Amino acid sequence: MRVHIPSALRKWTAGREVIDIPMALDMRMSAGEAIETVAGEYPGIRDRVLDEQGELRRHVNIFIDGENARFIGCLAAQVKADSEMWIHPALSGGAN
Amino acid sequence: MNSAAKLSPRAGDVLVMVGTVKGAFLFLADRNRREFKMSGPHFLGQSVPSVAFVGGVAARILVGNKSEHWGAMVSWSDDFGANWNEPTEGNIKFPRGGGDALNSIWTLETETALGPDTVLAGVDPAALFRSDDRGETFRLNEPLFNHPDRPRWNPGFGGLCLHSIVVHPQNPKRMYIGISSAGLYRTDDGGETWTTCVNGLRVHPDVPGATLCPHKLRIDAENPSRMYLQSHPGTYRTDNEGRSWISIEGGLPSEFGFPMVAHPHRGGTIWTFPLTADAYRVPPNGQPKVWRSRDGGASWEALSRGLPERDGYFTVLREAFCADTLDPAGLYFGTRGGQVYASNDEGDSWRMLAEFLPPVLCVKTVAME
Amino acid sequence: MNSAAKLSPRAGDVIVMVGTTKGAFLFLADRKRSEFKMSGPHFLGQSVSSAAFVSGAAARILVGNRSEHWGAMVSWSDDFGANWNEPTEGNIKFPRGGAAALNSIWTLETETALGRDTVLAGVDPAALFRSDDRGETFRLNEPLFNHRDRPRWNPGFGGLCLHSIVVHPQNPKRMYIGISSAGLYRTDDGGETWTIAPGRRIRRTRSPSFGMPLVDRFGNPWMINREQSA
Repeated sequence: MRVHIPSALRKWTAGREVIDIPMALDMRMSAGEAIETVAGEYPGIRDRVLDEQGELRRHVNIFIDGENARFIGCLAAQVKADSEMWIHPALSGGAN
Repeated sequence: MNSAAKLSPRAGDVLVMVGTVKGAFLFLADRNRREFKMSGPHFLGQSVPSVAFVGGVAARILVGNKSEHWGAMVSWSDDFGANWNEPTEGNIKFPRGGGDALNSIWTLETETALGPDTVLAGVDPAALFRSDDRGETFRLNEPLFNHPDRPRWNPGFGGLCLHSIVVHPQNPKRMYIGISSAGLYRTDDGGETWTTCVNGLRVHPDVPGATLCPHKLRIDAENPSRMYLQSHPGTYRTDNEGRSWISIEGGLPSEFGFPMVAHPHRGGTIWTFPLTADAYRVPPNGQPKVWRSRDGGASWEALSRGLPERDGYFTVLREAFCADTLDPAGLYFGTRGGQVYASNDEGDSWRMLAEFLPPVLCVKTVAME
Repeated sequence: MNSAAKLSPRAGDVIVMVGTTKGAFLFLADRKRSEFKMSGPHFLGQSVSSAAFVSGAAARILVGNRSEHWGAMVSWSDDFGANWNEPTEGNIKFPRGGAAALNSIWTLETETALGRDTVLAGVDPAALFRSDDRGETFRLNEPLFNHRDRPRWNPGFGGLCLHSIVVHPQNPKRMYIGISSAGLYRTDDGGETWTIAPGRRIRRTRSPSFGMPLVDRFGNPWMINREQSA
């Protein structure tokens, strides 16, 4: 599967925009596990996407194969070998 | 400037209503728009994210005030701020048992083709409310609240807010509303049914599954088929009542910004206040500028005479930039840094009306008849 | 004023560090304090709720920066803002498996009797962290975090924040901390035990205190009660 890194976090992935996670065709993984896998190689990602309790940060969205993960189980949402996962700051609107 | 003064407007005067995070302020001047009297703060300690004026026989100022403790509601003054009425019970409420609770009132729309006594309110969590008694009591628009799209609306960074309401100037059964971060909806039957009208708009982020995040929608003064939209990202125009949108951001320094202002009587003239994108939201290069188009967005010019030339990092929110109906049109915007700027010449030059207010959330203006 | 300038302070200069909701700004002037040079914004887009200066052979500017998306942490510059270092992993974190997650860093206290390399951080939710490597890594003060009073601490209007830290100027084992809206606590053993510190000179109020504690040069505690403002 492929994990797409938002521009704000690419300094922690040596500039890489897409991280490949090899998975066997019949394998399943949770979104949380996918993030941990990325963080294993790029530790700067972990604390910026998850808080210290392992929860997805409030203003970070994850899209899996076109769906906002918050609607399909959040970090428990399943990814497959051909899934595309996007990590993105929730950045709309605002009174800021 | 004379503050906390009792305001006694006369015909031809211009009233500027400013809502901030710590109360509302009113500014009044005659048609020369040189010397403004200020009154306020009103509702000190409450945030005032929306204001509006209800005309007719008895002029009324409405505010959508919010106490962090006691909640949000619409309050009003019938004597230009000398006295205020708060509703005994919250007048904008979600149905009991539903799970939704009012966060704040993002916009109050008055003086529409629905009549002088009708007030429309856009709130967070996204919903539309309507009053027919000049803002004292409101009813929820159920068809929009129960729209089948609702489960897919993503809360934006500022919350799931209904921030823009446009009523067709001749046909009151047609309305458009904008919701961050859901999109634009149109009704042709006075709010019984709603359909999206977002063909041509870019989503944010540019990722499968992301939703639309329009920021401010305005209608052209002369051609009601034409509307202008500041979105996230992008600046757009429709010429066919929302059926499709084209990009008009070419020439602007950024595709991000909050407000959009349309000239009140001259078609094709609009103003925006671009900000650097996304995470930063400050004027590009620390140089705050208003941008104006005279041709519906085909070309733009930067206007900054009287604005800080550098090190200017304030933000102007979508509800905080407006135009008055005089000729030449006057413009007013408030910043998160607490300043209010005014122009008497459609943006060619600017001066500060106020410098030390709390962060400004909304600015509206009306010329007294 | 010259903005985004590279600052090169000299002995006697005064530096003013300003954290805002959208970044940090540094102002530098000579001892006359008439003409200030400005540098910034640094960490544009992040809110900078605390800043501090660590002196010594290599001067360091610390900020408690917070991205609405990526969380809060302590970052630092060793060349007066020309370059900044962000920690790879969050350097202020609550223990895994608990309920607390860092909201923001309210105060950074340096140049105390604990020594030049020690930095204390007060955060929301209320807790005290200590660094002995000039702000790069921090450890939670567990006795305060696990204080038996904790269940009764009410979040103030600004959150449950530890906003004030005062170390006795001669006795580094004595410290005072202030928490909104919980009160003023004192330790006499370097943070192993904490007791609420009303004291004779502190005026009782009906509601839990949210004042700012001070220690005068004789080591006497005073508290200024002040309104919590938004």
